[in-house]
Formats: sequence, C-alpha cells, structure tokens
Amino acid sequence: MPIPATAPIVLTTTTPLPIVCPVCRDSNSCPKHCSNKVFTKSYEMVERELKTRSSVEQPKRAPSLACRSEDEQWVDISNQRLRCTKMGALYPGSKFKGVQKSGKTSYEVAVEIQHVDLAESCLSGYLNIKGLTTEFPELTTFFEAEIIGPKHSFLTRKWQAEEQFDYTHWKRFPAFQPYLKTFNQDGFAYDFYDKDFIFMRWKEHFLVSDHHLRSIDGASYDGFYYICYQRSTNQITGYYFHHQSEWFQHLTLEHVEERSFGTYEFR
Amino acid sequence: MTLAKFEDVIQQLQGNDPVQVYRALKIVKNSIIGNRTKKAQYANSGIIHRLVQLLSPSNGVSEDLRMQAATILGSFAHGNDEIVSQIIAAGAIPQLLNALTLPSDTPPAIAVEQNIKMLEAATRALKAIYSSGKAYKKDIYTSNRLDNIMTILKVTTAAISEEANQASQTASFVMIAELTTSIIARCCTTHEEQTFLSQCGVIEPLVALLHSGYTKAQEAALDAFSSLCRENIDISRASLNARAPFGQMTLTTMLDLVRDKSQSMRLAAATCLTNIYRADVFPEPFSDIVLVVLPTLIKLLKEDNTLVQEKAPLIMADLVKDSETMQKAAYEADAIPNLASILASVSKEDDETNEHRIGVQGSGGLVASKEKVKENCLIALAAVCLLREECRTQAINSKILPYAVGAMSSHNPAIRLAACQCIKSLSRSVRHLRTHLVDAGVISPLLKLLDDGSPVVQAAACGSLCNMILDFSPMKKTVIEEGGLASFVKFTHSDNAALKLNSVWSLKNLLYSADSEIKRTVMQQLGYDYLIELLNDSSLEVQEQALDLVRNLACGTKEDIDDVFNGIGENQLLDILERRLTNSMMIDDGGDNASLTLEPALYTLVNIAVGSSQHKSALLKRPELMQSIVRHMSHEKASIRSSTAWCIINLTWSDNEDKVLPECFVILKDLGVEEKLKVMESDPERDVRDRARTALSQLTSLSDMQEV
Repeated sequence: MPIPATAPIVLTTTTPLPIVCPVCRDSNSCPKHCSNKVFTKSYEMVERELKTRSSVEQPKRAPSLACRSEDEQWVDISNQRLRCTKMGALYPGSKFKGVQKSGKTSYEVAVEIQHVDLAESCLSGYLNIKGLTTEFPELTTFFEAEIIGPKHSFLTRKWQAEEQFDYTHWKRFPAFQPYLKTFNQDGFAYDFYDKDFIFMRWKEHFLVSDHHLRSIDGASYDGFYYICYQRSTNQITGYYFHHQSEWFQHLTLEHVEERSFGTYEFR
Repeated sequence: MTLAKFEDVIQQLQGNDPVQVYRALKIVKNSIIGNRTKKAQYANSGIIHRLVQLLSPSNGVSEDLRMQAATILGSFAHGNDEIVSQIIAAGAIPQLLNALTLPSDTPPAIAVEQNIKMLEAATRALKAIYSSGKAYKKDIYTSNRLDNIMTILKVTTAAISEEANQASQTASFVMIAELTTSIIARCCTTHEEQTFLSQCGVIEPLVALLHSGYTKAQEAALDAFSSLCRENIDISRASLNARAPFGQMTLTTMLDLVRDKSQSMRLAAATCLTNIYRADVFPEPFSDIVLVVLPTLIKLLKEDNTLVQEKAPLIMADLVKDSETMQKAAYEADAIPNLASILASVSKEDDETNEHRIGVQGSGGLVASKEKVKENCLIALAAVCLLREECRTQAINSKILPYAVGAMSSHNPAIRLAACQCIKSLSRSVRHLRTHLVDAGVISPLLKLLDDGSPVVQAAACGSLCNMILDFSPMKKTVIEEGGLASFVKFTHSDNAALKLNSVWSLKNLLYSADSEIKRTVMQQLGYDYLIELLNDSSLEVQEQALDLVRNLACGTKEDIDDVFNGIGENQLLDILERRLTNSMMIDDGGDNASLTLEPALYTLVNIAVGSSQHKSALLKRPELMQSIVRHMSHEKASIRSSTAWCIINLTWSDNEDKVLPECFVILKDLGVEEKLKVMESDPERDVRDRARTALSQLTSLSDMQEV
C-alpha cells in the first residue's frame, strides 16, 4: 500500500525516470537492445520443477473415476497432496517487521506469510501498515506474491508496469545487477530455487477486515511492490510502484525469528 | 397364428413338448422387443428360470431352442437393471458361457461357422448382462471358458480381415467379434486379469479389430483397450507399439479415431487414450493428449447425446486429476467455462421438486441423466481445480459457486458428494476462503452435511471443512461455534476410515497457530488418552495427522509444551516419537510411508527443544532418540535434514532467558554432530546449508565455552 503523499502527488524520484529508453545512447545499459548470451532453462532446473510437486513422494495414485462401479463412492478423487512448502524464512506463519519510507516519513509495516506454494512459484500473506490515515490507524491487506523464476518473469507485463518501469525498479536492487542485460530476453528464466536472492512482486488485493471495501480515503492499494528477499540475512527490501503514487517508496523488513513451527495442510 | 393368452404362453413354455415350447418362445420374443411393460410382465411371471434351464445342453434340448432362449435372455437384459438381477440370480451367466463351447473335434474356424447363430445369441446376451454393474464378472476366467472366448475372437477377427469371404457371413462375424470384445472389456477389472488376458494373446486380434473399419467393432476394441491398459504400463506400451496389418502404429489409429465423425467413437478413443496416459507411458506433457484428446473431450461435453454428456466430464476428470500439467492445459483450453455453463444449464430448471419425470429411451430417464451430468460436471470441476490457483479463480469467475452450494442440498447423495469435492478444491486457497467462499455461504450447508445419512458425504464435508477452519479463514469461528468442533471430535471415533482421517486432519488444521485457550478446549473434548490411541492408530495416515496435531499443540510457549508433556506423559510421548524415528529407519528403502510420520515427529522434537531446560534435558537424556536424530541428518529428503538441523539449533540456543544445558556439548560431541553438520554445510540444498551453518556456529561457541 502506498503512503499517501502529504503534499499533492508529484513524482519525486531521486533518479530520473528513463522514459526514453537509453538504448540509442548506451547499448550496454539498455535492457532491450544489447545482445548478450541468453540463458535458457538448465537441465537441473527442469528437473527441480518436476520435483517440486509431482514426483516427490506422492501417495499411490487414486484409480480412475470412470471405472467406479455404480454404488461405489469416493471421498477423494485424487490422492495428490498439497503440502505447504518453504524456502528460507518464506514459510507459512513467518513474520517480518519493518518500515515503509516515503521521503522523511516512515510507517511501521508488519508482514505475515500465510501460504507458500513453490511448485506454483507463489505465496500469499497479510501486509499491515500503521498510522496511514486517522480513520484507519491500522490497515491490513491481503497480498499475493509472484516469485520470479520459471513461471514468472522479471517483466511484469500488467498492472500498468511497462518494461522501462520494471527496469528502473529492479535496477535499484544491487542483487539484480547481473541480470540487467538479460532479464528481458526470451528464454531467460531466473532459477530462484538455489539462489540467495529471491525476487518477487507483491500485489495487494483486498482489505482483510472487509474485502468488499474497494477504496479508503487517503489510501489505495492499486499498485504493487517489487521485492527482493535475501535468504542469508532474511531481509526483505521493496519498492512500491503505482503510476499515481510517489515513486520508489521504500520497504525494508526484518524477519522475526522463530524456532518452533506449526503446520497445516489444505485437504 | 392366433394370439395366445399370456397365461397359455407361460404354461406352454413350462411344458415338455418341444414344438409348443418353441412356439411359446417365439411369441415371447416378439412381444417383449421394445416393450417395457411386456418385459416386466413376463419377467415377473417366472419364465427366466425356465429360459436358463432351456440353455443347458444336458436337458436334451435342441440347438434351436437353446438359441431362442439365449436370444430372449439377451432381450430381457437390455436396459433393465432389475431384470438383469433376476437373470443373474437364475444362474444364466455360466450357462451362457457354456453355450460358447465349441466341439473339440472340429477345426475352430469351421466350428465357429457352424455355431454362428448360437454364438451370436449368447454373446449378445452376455454383453447385455455384463453391462450392468450388478453382474459378477469372474466367471469367464474359470475352466476353459476363456479359451473358448479367445478362439471365437481370433477366428472371427481373422475371418473379417480375410478378403475372400462370403458377405452374408461377414456381418455375423463382425457382430460376434464386437460382442466378444465387449465381454472382455467388461470383465477385465483387475491387474491380474489384464495380465492374464494379454498372455492369452488378446492384443493381436484387438489390434486387427481396431483397424477393421467396422465402426461398432472398433468402438468395442477401444473399450477393451481401455480396460486392459488402465493403470497398466506394460500392456499400455505393448498396445501402443502393436502395429496394424498395414504397418500403422496403434497409437496413430487411436488418435485418428479421437477425430472420428461419430461422437461415441470419439468418446471411446478419448477414454482409451486417457487410460493409457494415466498409465504413465507418455512423457509429460504429451502434446497429442493436450492438443487432441483434451479438446475433443471439451467439445464432447456440449454434444447433444445424453450418454456422451454424462461420460465426457468424468473422463476429463480422470485425465486431469493427478496431473498439474494437465490441469494447466485444461485451463488454457477453456474447459472450466464450458463445464460451468453445462453445470448452469442442468442446474437452472432443476428445482428438483418441480421436474416432470419423462422417461427417455435407453437411459435412466431425463431427470436421472441430468443429475448424472450435474454430478460429473461437479467432479470434473473439482478435478481441474485441485492444484492450480488460476483454475480456481477461473471457476469462481465462471459463477459456479451458487450451483455448487445449491448442489450440497440435493436429494441425491452422489450430487451432494460431488459438490463437497468441488467446494474442497476451491477452498485450497487463502484468497478465495477470505472472499468468494464466505460470500457464497458455503458454511451452513457444509455443517449440515456433517450429519448426512451417508458417511461418504459426511467425510467429504469434513474434508472441505478442514480448509474452512484454518487460521486465515474467516469462517473458522463460525465452524467452532456452530458445533463443528464437537462433530470433528466425535468423528475421530468413527469406523469409517475416511471420516476418521479427515476429522483428525481438521483438528490438526484447527490447532495450527492456535492460542493456548483453543488448544485446551480441543484437548478437553478429544482427551489425551484418545490422542495417544490416535498416535498409535493402525493407519499411518491417521498417525501422521495425529503427530502433526501434537506438533501444533507443542508449538508456542513453554506452557504449551508442559501441557503436552503432562497430557500425554513425558515418557510416553518421547517413546512414541522415538519409535517413529527408529521405525522409519528400518523400512527406509524408498518407501514413502515411513517418512510420512518421520517429519512430523522430528518437528515435534524441534518444538519441544525450544522449551525450558527441563524439556531440553528430557530429550538429551535419551541416547536412542538423540542417535536417531543424528542419523537422520543424512536423510535423503532435504526437509528431514533441515528439521534435524533445527533440533540442534534449538538444543544449543542460548539467550538472556535460556541457557544451554551443561551436558549438551559433550552429548552432541559424542554423537558426532559436528562432523555431520560439516557435511551438511555443503549440502545440495541451500536451506540445509544455511541451517547447518547456524547450528555449527552455535556448537562452536559452546565448544569455546567448554574450553574456558
């Protein structure tokens, strides 16, 4: 959720926005036109994709439905299970705390992850922000995350995020530097599975307290966050993006360490 | 011929005069064809027994009479389950099978030709009887009956394939080949039977029939391949690689038939290829299945053919239910909106009370058929939405929820069951639980179904509720308040395995992230003594859920761990956990079952090791338990290795509040933990490496302290 600008909304970007693609001037830094080796999916990566859900210790497959006898009824049509998955501190129940900064003001933010499905490259959770508006001293939204990898590319291609916006946002993460030239090429896929840095897009969908409420005075959640999570430090950094909000509102979160772990599983 | 009175016919039939019996048979035959009332009337007069009696060759009955009797039995058996039951009860199946016996002193080809009328009548009757779900299907495998069937099949298919034969005979050969193949298709239900049939050489004539060009016979061959290949990789391979007389691969022919102009052929071919696909012979994703079979099934959904409409969604469900790739393909091929629109169309005018019951020829009637379509569409939607969020979202956007919710209150238990399965798939999502599912009001019908008359429906409802009572579900509170908790606890005592498993699963989910008060409420109702029974249940799946339940109970504060220690008893609990760790080692040869309980047991230990000095010491003073933990540090599964590292991290943790136990270092050192952790530092999985590094650094600082 963006922090509403106290002053009328203006684009107060610290770095100039490359609305014009710098291609023409500097082919090295242009993501679109420079030619570089295109990374294709590695064999291990494909293997891993297959491993994430299907082939790993699924119980014996339930037989075919069409051959049931007439009075035979089954409780479950498939024995495939949907176990919770995890990666570093990205696990159901994991909590992060920190701040979102806009200029000089900052607001307390708490994130709680609810579900992680690595096979689908996605996770979801709650994002809580304090002190945004007087009417709502605390706001919690539900968000879904796309984990950048074989299923979701660095290119957003939606939510009004054009390639140049992707570029300027991802570029702010030092860990993104190696991919500056390749991130938008066909066949490039970031193999997140064994990396220290996990890139994501977090998109808020509705208010947890009332999912019917579409808009609140002084707060909106129409944009999304570019996120980078580092496994070795368990830190999350992010930038909020929305056309009409102040740019590059900065999110920093630390993991709230826990050493005991509950569990649930969708039936 | 004068019209004989009904009673006279019956009487003549029971008599001994072959001429009169023959006349009576003719009358019966002609009057029951296509006449349901007459059929029922004659069936109830007890003539079925007499017909079966006439079949028996030992009674000195002429061939002609026997043939007539078989023909009439076949006619009776058509499309009427009740009469089929009577026919079976009268012992018709063995007699009909015996009627397929060929004289041993004549060459088979000639014998078949000589008996062609009898064979046709008997196979037709058998096919009709075996089409009913009520028939016992093992008789063909006793004595030499299968030999006869195989001989008939081989002779007839060979005759069809030969160019020079008399046109008049060909029609009968094709018919007998088709009927015999249908009998095989219906009687092949187990893996042993598949193997046996294939050893008898069934594939070769079936391949010939598949390429014969006679539509009905080709359909029958596809049916037989469906049965033979179901969950059988060897036979699937053998069938696919078999070649037609003109060299074409069977697979190619089957794919051609998926594009045939006849709907029933397309369905038969799609069913067959679905079964072969499910036998894991194709590399996934297999483009022909995605590009040919799946779209055909989707188109068949909309065909104006009752039987096809009923079956197609179920075949689609089979095709996608166990494969994420296929669910994605179904999503991309728009299967979901299509299923949704059919569901809507059979749901709309279906105020089940208001329906005028028109019978439709050949099927169970219009109402029954609509219900079947509805049930199968719900099942197909449940299958497509099992694993992927985009599918669930698409299904909900296609407005299926009101129909699925309505279907939970159907008078038909099969529809209630299918509706629960559909809701269960849709509820595997935090997002939908928090929004559309609450809005659709799924809870109150689901809670009602916990008291359903059918235990299967109860179990399925309980399965859906497993998802509704999760921490992030806004419906959790309602379920608990409206008596859901009490029902779950009650069902943990059920004799129905599925209901029992789902109820323990619900309690596990309900205790995820629960506060101490809810934990106590649940345990007051469930009772620790019974929890111990569940932990030692004969079903590994129940054990797994019960262990996870304990894991959730112990996750939280030191008081929570105390409660578990006191409730189960410290020694008893640790005995159980220790057994799960050691058992899994003994049968740890790739068997998934053992590791089913291993991970929950290890994480329960992780959660205990967070506790007070007393809790930690309880673990450390059990050498067997500690050794098992250490041994699992090199387990093949990364999640297991990770959990063992967490055990070490928690045992060696120290901060302002908690101090490491003085004996800890020596115990871990003697167990060789340090060496194991060093190996884990170069583990292929990053998470394991990271956890091992943390554990090692804590262990090193312990060692430093020891030296000081």
